[in-house]
Amino acid sequence: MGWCNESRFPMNFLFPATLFLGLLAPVIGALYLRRPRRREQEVSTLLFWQRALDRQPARQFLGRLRNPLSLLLQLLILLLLLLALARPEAGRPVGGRSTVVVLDARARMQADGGGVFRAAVAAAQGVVSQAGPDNEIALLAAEGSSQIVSPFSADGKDLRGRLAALSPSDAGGGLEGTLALAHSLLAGKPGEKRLIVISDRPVPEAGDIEQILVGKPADNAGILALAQRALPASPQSAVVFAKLGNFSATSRDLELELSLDGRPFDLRKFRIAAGGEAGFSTVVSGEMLRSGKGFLTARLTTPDRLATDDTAHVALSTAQNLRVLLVSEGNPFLEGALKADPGLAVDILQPSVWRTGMGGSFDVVIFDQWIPAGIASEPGAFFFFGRSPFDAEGEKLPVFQTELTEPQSPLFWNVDVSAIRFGRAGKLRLPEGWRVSQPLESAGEPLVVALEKPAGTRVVATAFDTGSSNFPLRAGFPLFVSNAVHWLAGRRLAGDNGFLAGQTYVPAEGERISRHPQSDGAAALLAGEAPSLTEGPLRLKKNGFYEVRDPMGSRWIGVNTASREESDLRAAQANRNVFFLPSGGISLPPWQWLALTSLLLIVIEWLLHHRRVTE
Amino acid sequence: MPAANDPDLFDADFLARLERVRLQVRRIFAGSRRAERRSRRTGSSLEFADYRHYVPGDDPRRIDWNIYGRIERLMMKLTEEEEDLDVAILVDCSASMRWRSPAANGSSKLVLARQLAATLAYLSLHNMDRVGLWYFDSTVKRESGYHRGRPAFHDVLRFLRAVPDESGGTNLAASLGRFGRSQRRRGLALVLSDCLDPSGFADGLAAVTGRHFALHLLHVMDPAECDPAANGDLLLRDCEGAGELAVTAGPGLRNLYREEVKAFRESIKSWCAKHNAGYSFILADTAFDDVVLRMFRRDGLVQ
Repeated sequence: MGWCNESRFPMNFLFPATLFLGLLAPVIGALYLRRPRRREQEVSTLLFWQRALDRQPARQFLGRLRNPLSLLLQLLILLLLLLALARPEAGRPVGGRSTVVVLDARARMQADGGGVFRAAVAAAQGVVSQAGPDNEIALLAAEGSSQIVSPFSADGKDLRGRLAALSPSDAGGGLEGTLALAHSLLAGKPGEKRLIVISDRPVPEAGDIEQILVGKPADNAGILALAQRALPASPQSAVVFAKLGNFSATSRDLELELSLDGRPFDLRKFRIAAGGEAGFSTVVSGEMLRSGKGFLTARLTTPDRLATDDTAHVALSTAQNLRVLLVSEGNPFLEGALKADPGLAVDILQPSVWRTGMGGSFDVVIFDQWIPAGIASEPGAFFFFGRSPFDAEGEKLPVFQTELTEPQSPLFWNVDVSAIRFGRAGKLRLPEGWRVSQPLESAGEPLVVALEKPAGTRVVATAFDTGSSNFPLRAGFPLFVSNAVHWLAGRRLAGDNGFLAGQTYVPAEGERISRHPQSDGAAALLAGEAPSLTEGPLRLKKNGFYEVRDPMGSRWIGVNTASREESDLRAAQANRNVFFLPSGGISLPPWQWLALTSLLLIVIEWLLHHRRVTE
Repeated sequence: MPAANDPDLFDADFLARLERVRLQVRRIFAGSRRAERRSRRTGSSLEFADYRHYVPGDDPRRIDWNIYGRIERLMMKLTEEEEDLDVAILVDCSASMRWRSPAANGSSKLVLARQLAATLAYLSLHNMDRVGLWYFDSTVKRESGYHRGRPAFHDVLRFLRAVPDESGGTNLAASLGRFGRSQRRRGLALVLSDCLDPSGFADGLAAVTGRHFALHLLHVMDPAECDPAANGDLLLRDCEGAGELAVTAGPGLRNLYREEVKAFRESIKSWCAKHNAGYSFILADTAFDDVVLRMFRRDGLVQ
């Protein structure tokens, strides 16, 4: 797609009056009618000159042509200068143009030491240099979520300044949200509309989106997951899970260094096949945790094209029990799963004893195949297992296949669903006004839904129970239950004390979070630095440790890229249909090109016709 | 012209250099030949030269009867006739000889021509020859008459210092023709000229050789004439008043010019060879000693 195709509209001039200076052309012609002034020189004889001239084969032709050629060049120079002064704006439609530039600022744009992102910024600089009264340009950055770098502006200098201040994030995610925002911005604009995406790979189903691709395919390896949880047998210890990916055409030897509070304590070597992944776990003893603050950093020591996914952070939290109320007639699977998580303090209650408001003193309430009246309107964190207020009427239907539609869902963190089978499941009627996530589906029907209201109420509901599935028998069931409880309590979105870059941390009441991450939280603490804290929601753009403070004290969360899409650089590519150089290229408005061309012609004309005279 | 009236042209330094040249010339050929020249004519002197068969009309007094007595054939006894040689030195003083390149700081061709004329006159007077000098352009401007003996060299210098003030165009046919017609005795004619005659050089040189003079042409040219540095749009004006010419000089035209000069030199050289005339090509910036000791010897002008 050639985004510089601008032949659909006639050329306009900002200062057309300057074209009247074309009346100077006859003056130039009149000057040429004068005899050329020649330098006089005395010679001893004209004999040889005359004979040489007679022998010069093209003398007659050149003698006639030389001056007309000079006249032609000078008239051309005049024409180009006049056009430059008139400030032509090619392809500018009546009514103006509105352009939205979407700059990909996701983690993978940091490849090649940031070279890919710099090329993208340079390409964007070329686009925004065309901003003007008839061409307003808005800048959006896609960094997991959407960021409006600049609203529609005709000020090219301001746009370039904003671009220069832009830095890539460590976030992954898709472009869909940003593209939707761009379309909505353009929808309210008259005249021609252009949407330009500058990324390292094509946008699928781009439609009328104009794309500038600045990427380069490359091999890469990255850390895809890093999580921790307390060891069930020894709650003072922590077990750390990590997963590595090799996004190369060949197998690779990788070396992973684990550091606790800035001090390396383990070094693991892996040989991972092409396109393969490898996971491992290790235990951090309570003794080690007692001697430090619990900031664990995993680092791939083998350098590659993308550095941001070579380091991951997780804060090894000390046990802090969540209070969970299980309202159940008796469910050994659920009770066992809850007991397996040492971070949970579980109370079990018969449904007949339940009273409205009892859930207020618990972090999470689990209703096992029982729904209290009016619970749907109560605030809190509820886990409906087997039955929920959102059940649709009718018989349960057979389930033939399951699909994990949201692999990054915090509910299924480290949960292997490949061997799970369901016999029958109910149908869930999704409510309106909630933010809905349905990570596990069967033929488009949700098997698990996670619901969230802006006020903070969170609900997890399942369309199956323990009797209709082998899920409770699998190793992933306790993890799923634990994940669900922790998500409901708002303690994590991805892994224990872990977040994905690009997500937004919404502090609970009284909580504050540091604005900027520390690559080594321990060092920051030991140095006694006072991080700047914010009370409002914070978009976690960069990887590292963020401090969260509440009236009860402070804790740390780790933020990581942890994305296959970001680590896989093999699909990157560049296109050639841009008329400026992607890296530090030259992009000039038409009038400057005209002026430069006329300057070149002036030099040529001087070399051809005047240089000899002045020697 | 300043070059023509240069008061230092024949200063003491030049005279010392002249003496050095003479001594060097003598040292090279010491003992090989006497200073006096011999004509190629047989004459009435007593020095035997050769025999030849008698033909009717020969002077019967020169029949060698001793030979007739031995072989019974009439043979004429030939003797060499010794005579002092007339050396005519003709110096072109036309405007083109006085021209000097605007880009160069060197002297004109006429300066070198006068110095060479003085040198040749000096050597000739030391050889006991009769030396006469002429200035010419489109006609004979001045003539010195013949001098004999070494003390006459001062008269030669006086003549060479007094260059005619006015100079016109070159007309070799008219000037050299007048010279030839005025000479009664045969001799050696040394013509110093650039031969830049719009009407051609052949008629003028032929007027000298046609009078049975032995001709030696000293063709003097300025380096700027052979390889001009002219460039750009120019209006060239002939210094002898032959008109103006508008040219746009570039590498191509300069190449053609150089080819024309080369062809001109070759045509003169071949003409001289064809007419048994000596030819020496001299660039005006050549060192004086180099001209006399190397070029004149090479071209047989000095021995």
